[in-house]
Amino acid sequence: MKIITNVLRAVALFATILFFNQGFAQTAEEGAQLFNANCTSCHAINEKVVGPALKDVHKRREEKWLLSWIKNSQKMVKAGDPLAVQIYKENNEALMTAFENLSDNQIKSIVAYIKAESEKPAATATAAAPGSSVSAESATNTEVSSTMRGKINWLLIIIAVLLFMVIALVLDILGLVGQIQGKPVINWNNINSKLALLFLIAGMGAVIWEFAAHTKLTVNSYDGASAHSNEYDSMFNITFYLTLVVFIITQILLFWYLFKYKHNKNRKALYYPDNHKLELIWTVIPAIVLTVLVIRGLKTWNDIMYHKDEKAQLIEVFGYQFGWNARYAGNDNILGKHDFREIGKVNALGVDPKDPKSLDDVVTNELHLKVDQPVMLKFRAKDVIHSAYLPHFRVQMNVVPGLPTQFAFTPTITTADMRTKLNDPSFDYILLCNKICGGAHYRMKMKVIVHTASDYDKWMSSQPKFVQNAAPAADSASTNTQVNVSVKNDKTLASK
Amino acid sequence: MGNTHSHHDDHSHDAHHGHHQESFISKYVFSMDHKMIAKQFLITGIIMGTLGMAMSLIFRLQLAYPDMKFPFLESIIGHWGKDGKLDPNFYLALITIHGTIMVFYVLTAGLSGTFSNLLIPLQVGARDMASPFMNMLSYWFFFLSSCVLTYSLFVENGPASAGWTVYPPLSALPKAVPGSGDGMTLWLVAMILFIASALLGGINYITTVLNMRTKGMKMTRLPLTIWAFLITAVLGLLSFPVLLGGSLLLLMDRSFGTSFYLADIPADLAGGIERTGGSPILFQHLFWFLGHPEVYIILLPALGITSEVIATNSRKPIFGYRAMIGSILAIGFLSFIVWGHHMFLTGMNPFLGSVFMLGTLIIAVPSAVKTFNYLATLWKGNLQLTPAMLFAIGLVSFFISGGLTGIYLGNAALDINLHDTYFVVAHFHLVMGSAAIFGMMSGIYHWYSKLFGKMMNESLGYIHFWLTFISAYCVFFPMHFMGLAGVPRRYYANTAYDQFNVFVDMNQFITIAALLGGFAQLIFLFNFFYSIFKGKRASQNPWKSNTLEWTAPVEHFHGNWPGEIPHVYRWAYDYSKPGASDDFIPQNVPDPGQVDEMQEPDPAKFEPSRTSAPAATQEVVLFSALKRLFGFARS
Amino acid sequence: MMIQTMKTAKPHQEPEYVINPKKFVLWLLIVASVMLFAGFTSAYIVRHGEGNWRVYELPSLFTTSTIVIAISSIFMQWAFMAAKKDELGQIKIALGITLFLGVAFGICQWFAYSQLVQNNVYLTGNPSESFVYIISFMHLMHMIGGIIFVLVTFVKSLKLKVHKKNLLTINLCNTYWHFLGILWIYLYVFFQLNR
Repeated sequence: MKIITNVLRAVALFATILFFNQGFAQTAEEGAQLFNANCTSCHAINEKVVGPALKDVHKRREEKWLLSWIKNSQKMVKAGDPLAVQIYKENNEALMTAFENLSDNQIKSIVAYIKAESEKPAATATAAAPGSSVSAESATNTEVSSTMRGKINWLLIIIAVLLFMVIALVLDILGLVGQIQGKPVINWNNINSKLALLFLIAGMGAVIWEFAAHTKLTVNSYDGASAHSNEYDSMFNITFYLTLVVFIITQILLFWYLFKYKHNKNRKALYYPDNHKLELIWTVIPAIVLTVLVIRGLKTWNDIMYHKDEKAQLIEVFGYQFGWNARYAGNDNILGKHDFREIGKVNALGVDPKDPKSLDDVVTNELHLKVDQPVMLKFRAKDVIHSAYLPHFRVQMNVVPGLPTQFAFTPTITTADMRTKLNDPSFDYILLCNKICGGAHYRMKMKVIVHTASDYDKWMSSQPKFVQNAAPAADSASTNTQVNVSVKNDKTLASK
Repeated sequence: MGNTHSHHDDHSHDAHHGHHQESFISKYVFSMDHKMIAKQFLITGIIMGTLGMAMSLIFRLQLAYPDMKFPFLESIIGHWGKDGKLDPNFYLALITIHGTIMVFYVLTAGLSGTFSNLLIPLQVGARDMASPFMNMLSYWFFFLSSCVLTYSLFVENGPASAGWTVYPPLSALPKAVPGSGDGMTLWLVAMILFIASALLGGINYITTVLNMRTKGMKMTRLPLTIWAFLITAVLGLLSFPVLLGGSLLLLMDRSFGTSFYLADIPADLAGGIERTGGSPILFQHLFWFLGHPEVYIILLPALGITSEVIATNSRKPIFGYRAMIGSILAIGFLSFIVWGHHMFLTGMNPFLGSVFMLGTLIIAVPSAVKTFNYLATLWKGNLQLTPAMLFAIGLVSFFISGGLTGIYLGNAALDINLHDTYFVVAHFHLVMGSAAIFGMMSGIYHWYSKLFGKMMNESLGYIHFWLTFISAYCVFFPMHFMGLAGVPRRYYANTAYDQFNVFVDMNQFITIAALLGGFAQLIFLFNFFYSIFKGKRASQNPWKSNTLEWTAPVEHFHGNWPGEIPHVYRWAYDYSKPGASDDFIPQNVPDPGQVDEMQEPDPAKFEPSRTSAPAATQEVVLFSALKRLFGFARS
Repeated sequence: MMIQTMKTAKPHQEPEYVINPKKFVLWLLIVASVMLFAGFTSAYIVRHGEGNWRVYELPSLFTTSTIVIAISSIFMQWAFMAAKKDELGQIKIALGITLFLGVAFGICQWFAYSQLVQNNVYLTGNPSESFVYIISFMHLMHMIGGIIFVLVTFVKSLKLKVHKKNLLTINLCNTYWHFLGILWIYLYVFFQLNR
């Protein structure tokens, strides 16, 4: 019976999908985009992330309830909606971001997407889950075995302790036997010195293997995607080769001495408490080497941080728990004013819609850059400290609430070129959060796309302007200091 | 034990008259004897360390197998491990408490607390600490602090989860992360108690070293352990109060509605009051003003122990004694002016970044001197490869590997792409985590007989060493590559990033290595506790060492020495001196060639002189300025 | 006490300390305190340098309390001198007045807070306001310790236990009390200069 109803249901579903394919697919597609941009940092369809799994959420909740929940869940909790309070409690009182900027239709399309995803068979859904490396099958296997492990945990501990006791006893007896015989049964002095040599050889081998196997995975193994990458990478390489030489020499000496000078009761150690010349040598040489590194490092640091370019394009990167927005300054290259009190009220970024400067601003969930166009990223945080990290561009700056920071650089390789270079058609640049910021810290990222100039202009012209209707307002005094620092923080430390 | 030695009772610490009839409580619980307090610190530290290690294994499992379920988690951590999946918020709590426990509870209190307490009075030749009562208080503040921190694991919203650096606003806003509720308040309370403990202890250590040295124990004759403990205590004394201030301000922001660290936080996030006008970066300055010296508070005692262990077991004087002291002083001084290198990317003025970078890289010079001096000490030595010696060698190896990556991170330019990645995790786990733990282990194996009157099983010690050493390298070395690929630290999983997900194999390898390392610590724990009861009885000077603690009898009693405190005639490193019949000459053996500086001939009855070492020991005045500084101390 | 037991510790030559360990401990405690307030005041300066700083009148009672604590320091010194000269009566009087002035200082500070509130300066306001509250409150906490210390010394002096040959307690008390006075005067001047 059950099978028959299931089959019937499936057929009915299939028919529905077929019939409404056109319209349904479209909203779900839009929903997929919105879902990926807004929801994935805290939610997944089939598993709990920071928020609950969303599978079949359309069956569990009414649409009206969902609309008001997504727009502002805290309002519902405060109003005492029992279901809202319950969900809030269940999820360890983690705050869900308010999405008052989403329209009803947009939310509906997200729900449509969730619906479509929920109806996919579970197995494919798991396989499709981003980056799952272990198949569902092996997961269940481990589950079983670890349940068993849980049961025999205590037994294991007892056995381990007994085993240790036996070993200790045996070793004690061997020690006694050694004492009686006049020479130790296990000559640890010998074994240890040989192990030290073995460790040295095996360890050096492992280090070489490691470099061979894993260097290609690092971002240093291919060209950086920004103008200052070359300077950065050469600084890195100088430091790398210098430290590598020191590493190899000192480690070899250390373990070689361990082997060579092992205890021998017929030999007396050399009484050698001091040698000023030697000490002077190994004080002065590191000092000279470090002077070189310091001078070179200071130059690199200053070149990167005092990057001056009057024509830099202004983009604001807005970080919040848990996601990013990019706001492009538009044709006037001036960002409209914002106020933290208005965040989530007038719009998600708290940008003043009355400020004429914000009229041409564009807000997106992805960071689009034009190749070879200097860009000045202005960072702003809504709630806690984040850090905007773009590893491929050698760019990072903390994003601090109440303290504007900035970083200027020039992207030099388009996404398309990088894909061919790396021979990886799915490659994308990323901007990710690199300062602990809460439960979904590990999912807080933004896609970065570097276009050719013409592609960029095409993309930009297709973007809706941020503020549709605006009234004239006071001038904004948005300044554009070309130094990669907080403007406010300049003199903070001088006094300390 | 005390009863058999009642004849020594001619010295008198007023508070301890009649301690032959000490009750259990006054002997084992509220003891004022520095040796008992050392044991208390050590055992509390080991318990906390086990807890911290267990936590790291739990989150290592999550990192290696992000898609797997571990049902046993639910039985350990309850609703945080529902269905065997670790909650992302609890992951953050685990890394936070792991860091806090390891940095403060194990490597500060467990290491410096244990060995400063044990060794300072014994090695400088004092009956006890300057103030045994304060010393006892120091331990009990620490104990209370440990209890509060452990208790915070069980509060409803979980323990603090803003990272061990507890940067506000994340740590100040309960709505930002669940752990910033009661858990964070308890964390701050625990920290304030801890600071009280560290200050009481540190004040005692400094006073004892400077004021209570026995006759002939000049500053230039102190073993390097004592120098390290002294500088450590000075660093703590100068930096912990600043963290206290910083923590108090954070507590005010959390509980009393001030906004020292909060800027532009709307009312709905901040508990109903809009917070403006503060500066989140201010906390980082206050925190790292402690935080950076704290790194050396952890490391210096380990280096001090290593110097002593390496010299003793190489049967050679430590090479460049004065350079070693000089580098300790230099490191200690520099550690106060480099805190900004943790904050290169907070938007600080690039010029300031340059200044901090300069200071940071200069630290590499005294560190290099220390390393080369260790190597020179080993050269042409006669190395007794005891477990303590092996752990000391391990420390040197980690100190090199981890120290070199510090040259990358101290460089502000390179920090741009390495900041807060796994490269940083690898760096500090090698140079301060593993290295300091190895220093601590070295100390435990070396002075176990001083602590418990028994010997640890050496063979188990060797197995423990090799397993730990190999697994530590296997855990932390590969992490450099993850860091270079841009994998950020404190990520619950890398599954959302194709570029990082390629490291899943490496993560599994690291986790397996970590489990191996954890298993090795079980061997140690077994050896440690088994030997207390069943270990071989120790002889008085098992390692044939020169320092004063080995002239004290194996049995513990108040006052350390029966009869007179030994006088000191030479530095601590007369090993394999040409002309001497033995390959070591304890510090209390008079030097016949030396002009009598004591005004009276020393009887030195309890350690009959066995050698007749000729020629003046090299008694050079260290730094004349230093001497003037310590001029009030007897010389 | 340490020093006496050490000196009387007969047959063997036990160490005699050039500086009494307790005195040394006190100095180190003072160093720790100095670092705490150095931390607070540098935080104040750093934050002050960032702008957005509300300027307001400090309560007049702060001036009163500054005068009170300065005078109490003079009496403390008098008590110490008297102890050195073994004038037991004077010690009691001077210590009694010091104690009284110390308590008066505390009360002054307490009312200074209500003065601040009357001037619309609140703990939860701009950090410039919060800082004054918290820094002076931390000083007050130190002050409570100091008052207890003076009280203990005062009781001792009533029992005639403070005299020429037993100077340690009053010496320590004197040092700490002067430290508290100097600390407050520093803070007062600091607040006046960095507004």
